[in-house]
Amino acid sequence: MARNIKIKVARTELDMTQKALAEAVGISRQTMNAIEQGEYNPTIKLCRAICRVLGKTLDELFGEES
Amino acid sequence: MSKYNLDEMQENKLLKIEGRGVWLAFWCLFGAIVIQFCIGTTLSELAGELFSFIPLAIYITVACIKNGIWTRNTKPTTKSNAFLSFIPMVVIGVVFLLRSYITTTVIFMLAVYIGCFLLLEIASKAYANKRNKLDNLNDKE
Repeated sequence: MARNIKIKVARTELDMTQKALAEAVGISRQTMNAIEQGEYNPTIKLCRAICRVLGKTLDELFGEES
Repeated sequence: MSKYNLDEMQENKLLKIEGRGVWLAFWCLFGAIVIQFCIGTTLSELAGELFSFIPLAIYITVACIKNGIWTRNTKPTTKSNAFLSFIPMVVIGVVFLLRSYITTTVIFMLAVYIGCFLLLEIASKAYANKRNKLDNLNDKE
């Protein structure tokens, strides 16, 4: 699975650490790291929670690259 | 009530660990039963192992059928059921050869083959009915 750079970029834009984002969506840092590294495929519910915190749409963070 | 400590990835990992643990327990119990039977343990002395093994096997089978799940790699056809029934027949054959005469062994092997085949056929029919019901439920939505 490919790494999700878009989450990292959006998180950095908001000056958020991985730990802060993980806490904001209610997951562990281990899981947040696995999502960014592309090692874990989150459920749609968790994807939406991440999008809400980062102020992005599902397509912006999890949409396929053209 | 205590706070739920796991997120979805940790929950999935825990489920995988528990799943592997169940299969480890299942096959270890099965091995223990076979080995003890081979070395001459009586059925009453195996009560503890059987008390754990039989409910575990029944639970897995019933829960899978109720959820419309067969196996990962086989289809519930008469041909595959006939083939799969050979496995317990061979295991029973080897176990009984160590303890009984050849005639008794052959009778038991045949009984186990027929018994397993019939059980698999009944389970296949129950699975097909459940599958049908679940698929129809999805169609209505």
